[in-house]
Amino acid sequence: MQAQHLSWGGLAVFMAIVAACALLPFTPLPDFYIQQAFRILFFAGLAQSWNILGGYTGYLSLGHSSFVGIGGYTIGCLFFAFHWSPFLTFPLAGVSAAMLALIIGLICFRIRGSYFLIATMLVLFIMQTLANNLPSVTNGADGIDLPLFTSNFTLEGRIWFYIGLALVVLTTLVAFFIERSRLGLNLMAIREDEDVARTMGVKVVHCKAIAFVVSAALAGLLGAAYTYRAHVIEPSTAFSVEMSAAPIMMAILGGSRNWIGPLIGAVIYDVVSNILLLTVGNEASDMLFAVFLICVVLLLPDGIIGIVNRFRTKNVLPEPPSGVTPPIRSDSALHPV
Amino acid sequence: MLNVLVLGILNGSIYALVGSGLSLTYGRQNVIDVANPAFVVVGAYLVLFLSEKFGLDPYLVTPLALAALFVMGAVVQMLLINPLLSRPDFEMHVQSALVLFGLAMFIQVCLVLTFSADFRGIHTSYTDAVVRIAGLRLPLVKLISTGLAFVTLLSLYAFLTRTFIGKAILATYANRETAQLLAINVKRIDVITYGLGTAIAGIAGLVIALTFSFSPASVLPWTVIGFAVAVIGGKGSVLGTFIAGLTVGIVEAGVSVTISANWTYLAVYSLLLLVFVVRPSGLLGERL
Repeated sequence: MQAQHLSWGGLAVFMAIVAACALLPFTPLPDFYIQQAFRILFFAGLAQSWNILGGYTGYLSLGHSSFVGIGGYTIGCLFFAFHWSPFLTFPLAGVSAAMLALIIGLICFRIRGSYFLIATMLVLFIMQTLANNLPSVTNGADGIDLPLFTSNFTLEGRIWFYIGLALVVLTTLVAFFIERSRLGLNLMAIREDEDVARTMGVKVVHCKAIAFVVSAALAGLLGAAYTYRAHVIEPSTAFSVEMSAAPIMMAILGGSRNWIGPLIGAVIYDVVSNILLLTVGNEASDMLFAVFLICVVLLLPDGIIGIVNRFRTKNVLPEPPSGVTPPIRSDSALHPV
Repeated sequence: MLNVLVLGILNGSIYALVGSGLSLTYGRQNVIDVANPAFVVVGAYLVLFLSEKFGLDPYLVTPLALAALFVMGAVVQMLLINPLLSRPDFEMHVQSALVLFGLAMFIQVCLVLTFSADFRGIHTSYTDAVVRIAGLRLPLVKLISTGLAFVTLLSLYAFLTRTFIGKAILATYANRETAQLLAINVKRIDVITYGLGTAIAGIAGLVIALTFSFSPASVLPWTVIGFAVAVIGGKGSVLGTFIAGLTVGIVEAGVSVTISANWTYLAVYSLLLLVFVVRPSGLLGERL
């Protein structure tokens, strides 16, 4: 795997970047950027958590925001019903998301490919309908307001910046160790060919379930943080298609085959979409973004990491002489080059 | 009771129409066609625009709209889907869904920019006309729409089973490599299939323009209904799509009358999940 010869070194570089970022609040950088950075960090974590199932295993989940939503609603409902502090109920968000994933997994792992995609999208809509129609638990379409924990916005921005950073480190470490483990290899085998993987003795359902539950639990934690940061949760934003689509685009943009891609993709995606939003306005930015998305998928199938790898391998492998069929791409992904 | 059944059949046949275009284009070649329902809404706006521009009845300008949509579909297939065909299966799922999602988003923004985000509808002299049959008051436009849906699905079925191109489409669907060995130009069939699916989306658009109100944001709800019908029916099966459309319509009408309109979507989603669990390939689709 291409990732293997840059894994530990890459992780060291990542940790160094995180450490450098951790010093940012102490530089003269305006507070505005520190406050905005939480969004990027949240999406980096979300893309990373989606990628554990979507990228490594090739099971495209369009329902990732169901876990974000259920994480947010876990802390929201506990506050709404019992006035428990979201800080204390925070871990429960991961637990409830993992349980939801287990239930969905029981239903959806019987099905593959496009059906899995549609089934997970359905789960998203079911969750949204439930949140709307059970006002005694979720306060319906009005949503739940969560308390401010400090009125000092500079301090609050910094606290969330560090929480965001911690969550990115957590999701990245999980993704990193899964990728290097036997489980990770099993997942990639499932992605390349599930039937062959099963024949070779991979417990496919078992592996997929672990990947799904881990991915969901991380998304639940992220969702709880995102919700508490926003201080409000309501059905249409908690369970939105956009929130599901964003991590997918980020992972694909960066490259979905290893843990570096989603991080790069999330940063570029968020920066580009914000710049577009600020410079050309809402509609035009949506339109440019759609074009950008189409171009990325058509022209950069392996994401930005793919370009980097192409440069790295160019020095090692000579170009095949003309007239010789180049190797099939899925092949080169299986064997380290 | 009869009321619910009739309402279910009237709406259900429209849903079947929305699902039938999708059933043709989705699932083929691992392409997940999330853009087809966007073309339904484009169809609705095209009919609205053309009938206002020429001052003609919406039904009369429809052929023009369908031709335009067929061309659009063919262009989409050539520009956006063909470049993806050489990629491995699991990448095709992800990437076709993303590309077509981008296209749907693009279409939606274009509609907002040209027609504004307001809800629109087509109002004709006969929009409010009511037909009385057996004590039921049935809106004329819905009856016409149901008739149109029947005719469209029947002709689609006849086209697929009786003509050479139709059979070639089914053959390519069933096994691409074999179809190629039988001297079928699969690339051309792809373009025709996608154009046809888009044109059928246009007929669905006409029907929706006349019977419901619509806005650029209608893309999402119609996507859900379209996929529900196409998946329950089984991809590529016209008859299955028809049955699925009626089922969805009747379930929806039944739930909204007996429980509450809030729960209709949940009922449809649960029905779909049930089909997934019991028979993932849909009612009349090929077994996986």
